[in-house]
Amino acid sequence: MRRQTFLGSERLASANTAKSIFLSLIRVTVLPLLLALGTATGLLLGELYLPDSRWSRLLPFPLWHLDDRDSYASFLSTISGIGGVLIALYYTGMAAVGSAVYARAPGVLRNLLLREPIGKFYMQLVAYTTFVSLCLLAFHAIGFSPIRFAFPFLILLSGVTILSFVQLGQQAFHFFDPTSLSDSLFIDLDQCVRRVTVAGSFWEDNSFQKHASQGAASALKSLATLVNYSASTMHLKSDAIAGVAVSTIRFLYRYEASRRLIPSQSKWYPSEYKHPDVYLAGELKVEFALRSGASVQPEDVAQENWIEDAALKLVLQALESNLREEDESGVFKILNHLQLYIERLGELWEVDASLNLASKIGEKLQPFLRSPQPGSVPLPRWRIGLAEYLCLLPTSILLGFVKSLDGAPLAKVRDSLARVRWERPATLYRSGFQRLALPSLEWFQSRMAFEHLAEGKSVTPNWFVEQVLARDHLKVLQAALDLLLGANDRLFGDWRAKFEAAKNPWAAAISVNRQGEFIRKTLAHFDKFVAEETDYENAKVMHDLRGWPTGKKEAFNERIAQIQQEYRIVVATWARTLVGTERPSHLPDYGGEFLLQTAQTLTEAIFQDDSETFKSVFPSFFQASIKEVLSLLKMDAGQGDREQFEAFALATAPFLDLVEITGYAILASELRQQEGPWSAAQATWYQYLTAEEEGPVRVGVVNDALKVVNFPGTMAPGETIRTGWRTQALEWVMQSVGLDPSSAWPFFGDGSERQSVRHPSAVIRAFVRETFPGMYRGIDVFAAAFFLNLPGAESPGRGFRFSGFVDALRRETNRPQSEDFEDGEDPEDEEPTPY
Amino acid sequence: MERIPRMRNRRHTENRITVANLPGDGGPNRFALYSHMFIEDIHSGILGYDLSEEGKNRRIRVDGDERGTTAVTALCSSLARGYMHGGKIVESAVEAVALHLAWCGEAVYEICGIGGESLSLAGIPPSHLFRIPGAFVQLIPIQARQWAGGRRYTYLPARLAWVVSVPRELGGPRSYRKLLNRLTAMSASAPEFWNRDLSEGKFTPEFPFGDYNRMRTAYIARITHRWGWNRRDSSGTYDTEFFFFYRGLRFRRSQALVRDHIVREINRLLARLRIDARIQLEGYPSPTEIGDLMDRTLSGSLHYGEAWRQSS
Repeated sequence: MRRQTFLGSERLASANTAKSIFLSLIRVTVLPLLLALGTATGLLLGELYLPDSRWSRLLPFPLWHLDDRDSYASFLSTISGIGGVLIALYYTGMAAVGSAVYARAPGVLRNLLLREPIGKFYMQLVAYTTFVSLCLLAFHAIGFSPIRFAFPFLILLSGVTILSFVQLGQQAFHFFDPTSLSDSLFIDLDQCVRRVTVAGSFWEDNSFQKHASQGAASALKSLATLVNYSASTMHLKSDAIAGVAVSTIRFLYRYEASRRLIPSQSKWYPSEYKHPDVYLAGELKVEFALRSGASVQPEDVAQENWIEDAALKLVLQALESNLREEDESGVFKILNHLQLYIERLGELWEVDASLNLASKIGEKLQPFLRSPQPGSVPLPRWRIGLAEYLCLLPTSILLGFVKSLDGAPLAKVRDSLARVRWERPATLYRSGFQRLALPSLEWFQSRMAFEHLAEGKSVTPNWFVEQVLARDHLKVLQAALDLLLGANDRLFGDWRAKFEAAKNPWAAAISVNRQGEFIRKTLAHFDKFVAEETDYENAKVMHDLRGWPTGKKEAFNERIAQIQQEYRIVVATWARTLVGTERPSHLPDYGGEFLLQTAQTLTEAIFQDDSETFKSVFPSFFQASIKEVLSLLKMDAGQGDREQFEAFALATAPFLDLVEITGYAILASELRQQEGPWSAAQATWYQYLTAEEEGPVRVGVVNDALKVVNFPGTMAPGETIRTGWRTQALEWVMQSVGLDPSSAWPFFGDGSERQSVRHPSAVIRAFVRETFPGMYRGIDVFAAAFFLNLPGAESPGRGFRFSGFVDALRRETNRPQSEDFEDGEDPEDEEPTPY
Repeated sequence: MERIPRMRNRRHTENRITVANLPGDGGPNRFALYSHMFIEDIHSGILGYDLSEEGKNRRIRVDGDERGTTAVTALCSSLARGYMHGGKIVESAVEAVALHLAWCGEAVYEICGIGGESLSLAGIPPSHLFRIPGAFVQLIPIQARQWAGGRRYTYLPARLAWVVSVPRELGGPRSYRKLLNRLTAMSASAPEFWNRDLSEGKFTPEFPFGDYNRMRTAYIARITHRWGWNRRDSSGTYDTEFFFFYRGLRFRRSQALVRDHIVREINRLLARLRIDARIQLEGYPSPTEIGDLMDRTLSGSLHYGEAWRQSS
């Protein structure tokens, strides 16, 4: 009896469980069930109530006569049967994939497989088709005539389901790669983002915002699981994970565009508590804290970048995995997309975030740019390409930022403000403002609402709002430029130092080269920044508006000049380091390029009377030039005399540049009658040419090099560039002594070939006296004023070009100045400088 | 500060009809935060402050012959009753009337000494005072009758009364008293149930104080918007700096309306009493001028700080 009672109670419990399960199943299926039933009923009603004749006229085919009731029933039952088979086959296939791939994978990934959107929708469609057929079959069984519209409807549906099964079957093979399931996560993320933007319903509701935030956090967690799983699975470590990273970056790209549509205080952004100072917390909070005996209530601080932080962490993890696997294509695929994303951030004025990202990418790439130990396999080419990519990132940010500077920003702010309706908060986000304007707009919105409550209208005028928005833009604009200029130290300087520490001079050279490009582009676009700043200044109505930043055009100009100055020294230093270092053939000759750039820097420094730059750069330039000459001389020139001479002539090009510039340094010091640049150059030259052992040999080499450049009827290597410098030098000297530079060119001037000038220096007087056609050169000045005074230096023979200046200088030294001036007007009593 | 001499015509007020003090009558309860602040703000700056350059050039001039001037001074000294506006009698009288108005919305005075050598005005407490056609009746509470010679009421003919009310542009006296009552009601920093809970040691953090306080502040701003009172709240928690100053300017305009109104009423009284003298405001901005400043501020052609300075 007791046993029967026990069994009875067990059966009852089991029946209760079955009942609750059945009810749950009904709850789950009620919607699709009703949809299918409704469709079948609709078809039936259509058959019953739509008049025949009209349809027959429209479609005069004999399609609508179905007399064979058995065929109709067979048709419906066949479709139902096919549906059942498709459902069974699909889940069998899924079970096979699941057991093969996902048996040991985290549960999250199995869920992804089940939630795969295409398969999920396909199964719903098949189930719907099957059940509609069954319903129609049921109608037929209880006595209704065949429904004509059921045929085209079911034919279409069953056609889609049967034919798409082929595609689906092929797609099933992709499921062996779990990363292919990440699409559903991005669909989830996009939906969550859409819900919290003004485009979504209930976007203002905190509960909905929080729910969307939790949904996105869950999707990101799944994505992290997927990335971790892929990174630890052999066949997913490179290409597959790179695909996920690219999809993540694409999502971030879309998300950045959506962020300006999300309120800055939305619960979408998880918040952290921040406790305020008691005396700054506000009287009401303090009063309640005192009355309740508790602490002052903390403030919520939104974590604005939580999506980016989580998503970029995964991207960088994927990048690292590809780097470890040496998968070149995967690495560059990710880097390409990161570059686009970073440019987009620059365009949205998120300069700090983009520079931080560039810095993080640099940290990931650094270990893979270490120079290998001597004797081991050299770095593959693509690894050097990493340095190129990395050092291009700041320029991408700059160009993105510049893209957003359209020259009339205030008009844009005005237009956007005109579209704002304060009583409809959604217009704040739809008016086209950048995200940086949102805090101020929201601040005004709550106050405008207060004004509406108090006054029944807005009182604060638009010009007041406009100037506050302009102030915000101006502040961010200046901060952005400040950060971009700071990238020279923060990124390029840091990378250069790390590459140097990693003993990879070529990566460092790439960094220096790209920094030069970055500086040039900054300078090229600086006017746009100034125009933008000036335009925003026009919005200022109140002279004492709090927080209005002062114009920084001058300060930035000075800073850029300082950056250029520092960069020149860096270039000269790296020219010295790189020249003579063995260079892989796939890399440009950075040493030579830097040397030429330094030469250009030195000439500009001399012509602009910038002794400091000259003094700081010249020693490096000197050493680098000599190293370059020695390096070029080592190259195999062939056996013939002519070949050897040509090789020697070519090798002397950097040396002749050095000599030419030294000549200008002498001219500068003579011109100003002070030590100037020549004092720095002279000490270096003396040290070099008067060394105890090598001195005489070096003097001999200089003798030979000077012959190369003075050989009649030949053109020494590098003369094209030097001729440009000479033109500038001549004009500079003539202007400095008060002569018309155009008179240096008798074709264009007054035809005079001889100039007279009052100057205490014979070098200067000789230099400007005869200027055409044999324009004097820095080499001539170097030889005549310095080199020929050294022991071992050979005087030029007749016919050599620089002998002209040697003679001219000698004549000028021995000739009183007053000869140049009639009626004794020359008051110059000073003795000419002896040489 | 120079002390204004006490009234020489005291004997006339001793013979007044109405009772000056009704012991035990505390008057209307105006000691709640916002109503008290509002009252203070209305009267304290009614004649501006003498600290600025403009302040030194402002005064109330008495135009009339010597006899008339003396009568005006006597009358005003009876109104001033103390040391208020830097010892200037007429200014002090205007301020005293403004104070009376700010507290009660209507200031009723008994004219004493009619037919005699000198006239004076004596304030009548607003409570227990009723207006009937052609006269005022003051009912005297039982506990005060011993101080009123046993009288149960006093009867003051309208010809012996002088009444100044809040101007119609600002809502009139009845609306004003209603406003004060609302401000008193809104002065509690939290709803009554919350205060009660707190006193019992229950703290309900779910109550949205931020929203409550915002709505309370908006309500106060709403009911005082005709006056333009800004609650002296320059914190910017709920409004913009512009709005704060704009409301401040409107409040100054309201003060100017009250000021002009009081001066106009005093002049009407002088005419009624056949005193051949008039008082006139000199150097004070008129309501129209302050209105112009407001318009210029709105258009951005005048900085609101400057408008604030010019309107003081």
